[in-house]
Amino acid sequence: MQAIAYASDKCIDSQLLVSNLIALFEQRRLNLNRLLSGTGIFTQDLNEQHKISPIQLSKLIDNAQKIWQGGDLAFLLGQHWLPNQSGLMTNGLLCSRDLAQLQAHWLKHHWLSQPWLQGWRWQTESKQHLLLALDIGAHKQDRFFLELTLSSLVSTYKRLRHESWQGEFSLPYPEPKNIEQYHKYLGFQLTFKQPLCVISYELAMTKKNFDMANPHGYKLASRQALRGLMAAEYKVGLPGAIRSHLIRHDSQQLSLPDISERLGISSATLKRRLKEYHTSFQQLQDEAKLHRALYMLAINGESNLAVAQQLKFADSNNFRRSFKRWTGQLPSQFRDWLSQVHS
Amino acid sequence: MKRSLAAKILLASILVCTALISLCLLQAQTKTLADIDWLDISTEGALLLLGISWLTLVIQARPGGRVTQVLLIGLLGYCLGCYMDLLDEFFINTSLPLWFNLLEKIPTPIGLITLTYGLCLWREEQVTINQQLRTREQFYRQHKLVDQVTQIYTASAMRHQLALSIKQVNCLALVMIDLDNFTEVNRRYGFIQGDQILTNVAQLIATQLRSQDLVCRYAGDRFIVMMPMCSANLATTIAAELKSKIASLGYHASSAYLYWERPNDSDADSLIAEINQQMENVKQTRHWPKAV
Repeated sequence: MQAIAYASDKCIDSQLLVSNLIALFEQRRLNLNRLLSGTGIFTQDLNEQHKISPIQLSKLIDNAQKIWQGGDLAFLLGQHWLPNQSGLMTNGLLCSRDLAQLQAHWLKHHWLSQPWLQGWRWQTESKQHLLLALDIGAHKQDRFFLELTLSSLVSTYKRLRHESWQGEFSLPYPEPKNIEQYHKYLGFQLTFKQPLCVISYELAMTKKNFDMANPHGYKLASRQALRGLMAAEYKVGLPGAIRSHLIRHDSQQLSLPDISERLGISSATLKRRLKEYHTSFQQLQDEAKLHRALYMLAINGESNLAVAQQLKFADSNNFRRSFKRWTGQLPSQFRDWLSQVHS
Repeated sequence: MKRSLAAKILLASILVCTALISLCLLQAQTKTLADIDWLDISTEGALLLLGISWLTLVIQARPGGRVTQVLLIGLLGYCLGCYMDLLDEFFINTSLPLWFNLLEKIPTPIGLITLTYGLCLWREEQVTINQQLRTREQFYRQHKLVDQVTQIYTASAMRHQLALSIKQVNCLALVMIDLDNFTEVNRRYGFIQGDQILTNVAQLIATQLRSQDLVCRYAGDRFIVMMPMCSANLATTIAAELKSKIASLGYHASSAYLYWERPNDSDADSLIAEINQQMENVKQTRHWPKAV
């Protein structure tokens, strides 16, 4: 587990979000000083290979949300994501053959473009699903980052395919106040209070060709992106790294001391580092277990007992109780979760 | 209000106050510290401060014009009266000159009467403004629900008005207008231009409606119009009219409409959900131009 970004490591390219945010605020004639106060970001620094830390990003978004009125900040940023980003990642997106390739490209190289989230791909009989969880994005700003990424996805699709997005979104929070923005930018197939954030679409949709498909360009961009990734100082955030590791080794019952040993730091330090990200080991552990449980239930159709055994619960009752605590519902209700998200 | 006028008022007030206090110091005797009634001073002082704060608020918020002038004269008179009352507390009563005693009681009642007259004028003004804003407000003013870009209300206000209308009328229609490919406009010409276009479209829609209708900005480039006591036919006609007027501005729009009648038991939220769904359907079936 190398190249992990802690909350104060400067791992985020300013060109990604900071410049766009500042440009947007300038155009709307909003107070830039208030936007940047307390973030340690200065407009004159933004021209070079400038990077900021997750803590700085969190403060910036916090300020932005306080100043911006209208509840559509993340959506506007997402709408103008593709054209505003030049660079390794987006060239690949623009040249993708179809949604399947675009998604694969994004998942592989998302750290270069949207490091606040991490993603997984699941597949059911007739649908593809993209799951998203926060990596270095602050937990208290989860809605912002999800809104940003989801609207960037929808607008990228619209741009490449010249037709409306037809997927479904499951969101891990209750219906928000700015629901009309969701209707406008993400469409109407939304379900809230879901255990994980999932983007679901028909398999047929993934094979529809994009208008600007360019296989040669894609190969080139892919290679460039890979090189960029290898050259990057950091490749994943601490929450993302731990969550992935826990998910991969779900049957091993890894504890905080185990992980801190792998990272080469003390348990106390790890606790502190996680706190800087406003999360805790317990929370990441629960999230990883939930992730695995949902996979086994919804994708593999396994029984509660099998899940309980795999995740090292004392018995299936224990598992059921924990599951209810995490999601407010029983595991049996999720067996058809992804094939029936929208009834 | 114009800064120069505010500055003039400030200067004049300072001159008058200084003149009064100097004349009193010259012609009358000040009380000894023991005789000064501090309770009286604090109450009179508080009244004066309040009067000054009202004056400041009116100067800052009101546009120039006759109504504002009358209101200001009234408030100035009141403040002058308070000031003289306050001054009174510092001097021995019997030593005050005759003109002071005569003058003291005049400003406050005159000021308050003028203020009352000003408020009557303000009432007339407000009724006119309410009429001007009808299709943008429908007599419900919640300035926190105003959209900063287009200056019309947001979806929350529409939800409120819709819920109200469902109780009051027997039938209504909802029309939703969504500008096509507006992201391209924002991308090509920038947000400032995009915002201006949205504002223009908002104004256009507002002027095309009947006085009992209401237009709000739903989200982004999507607008929602509520038309109480309106038949389904009229709704489709108006929707088509709006689309063609917007087209004459140079922007293509999609529209969806919904008709509701009394025995139908829906609430505001479900009606809004339904029209959004309709809009979705319209958008899905629309063919986009390939060349951008």
